Amino acid sequence: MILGVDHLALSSNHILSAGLRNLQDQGYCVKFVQDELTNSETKKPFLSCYQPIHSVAYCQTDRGVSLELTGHDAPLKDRPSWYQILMESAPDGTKPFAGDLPCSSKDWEVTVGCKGALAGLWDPFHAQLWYLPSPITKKQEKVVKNATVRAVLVPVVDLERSNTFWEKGIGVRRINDGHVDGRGWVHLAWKSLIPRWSLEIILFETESKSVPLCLDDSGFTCIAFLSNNIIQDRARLLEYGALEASESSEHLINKKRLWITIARGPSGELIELIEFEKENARELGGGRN
Amino acid sequence: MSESAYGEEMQSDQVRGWLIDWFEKRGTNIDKTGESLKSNYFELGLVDSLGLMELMTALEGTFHIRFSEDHFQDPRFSTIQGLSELITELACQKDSKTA
Repeated sequence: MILGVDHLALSSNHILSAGLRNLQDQGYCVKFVQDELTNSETKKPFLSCYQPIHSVAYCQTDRGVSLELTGHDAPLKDRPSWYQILMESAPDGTKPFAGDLPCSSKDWEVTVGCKGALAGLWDPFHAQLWYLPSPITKKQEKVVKNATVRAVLVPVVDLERSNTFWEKGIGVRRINDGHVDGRGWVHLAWKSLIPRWSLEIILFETESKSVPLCLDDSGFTCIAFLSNNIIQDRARLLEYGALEASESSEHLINKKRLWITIARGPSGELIELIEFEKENARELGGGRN
Repeated sequence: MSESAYGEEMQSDQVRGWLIDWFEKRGTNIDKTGESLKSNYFELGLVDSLGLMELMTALEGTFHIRFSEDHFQDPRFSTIQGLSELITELACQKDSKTA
């Protein structure tokens, strides 16, 4: 069973302290940084340039889904993220983004009711994203930063097929659906009792062909879910339309033993399943979040 | 009180006792009669992601029940009081199916 959203993966060339400081400035707490992690060979089909090692920094906030900064130690493929991320406000270092994107400001308004979303490029990570304009405040008023993830839009080639995958394969619930400018959309939500395991997801019909997305593309590349039975959940993803899924591989991250599977959804989107070793896990250092 | 309702209440007490033990073994003092049975243990930071997985595994093994995604999104799951009710319901459903 999938229990919730563990994190969104955000690519970086290297994990640099400047990048971590930027995330801390947005209200994220860096739970751990781990360098020189062995990259499982099962990830090869999901990387454009396989490197034997990589590094990760796990960053958490009480107000939304966690981010895992992944340093690939290789040049990132430079293109807009397939996953379109809407942040509650512009993270520091965001500049306007000009270029073709699979959705528009109007689409965010119609699907999740967020008006005035702006396209930006989060410069420290070279990550394309969307953000909501900050409310105008009085000069003396302290502005609390809240650059957390509001929602994720997934461009999909075949809405029905993708909806089956997300609803039945992953278990995300349908909130609403509709059409905008002739394109169908479905608003889904993973509502967990733990806020940072929750996420709103919009499947949005696109005319773009799916592309072979990779974990080492720039920007937000993957949604990771917590599972309590990775073998069963991997089988369920394949049953409901995943194009491929790696065998689960064992890792020791932040002193905890865990298993990871990477899967590709019907439109090429990347999903990660994580299962922690339950027995003896406490002796290895406690929970991840 | 009917026999089945009495049995259900007794079972709920047993489950609550088991849950209190589970939390106390992890260093949390539970006020057995007070508000802490109705407090949200996620909000209090008493259970993290790994702790939740351990709790689910232990409950499923001990009470021979199976949680679904629906249970996991049920607000009762987040308090000792609510969770003991939920487990009792699941155990009774299982018993009535096997009877």
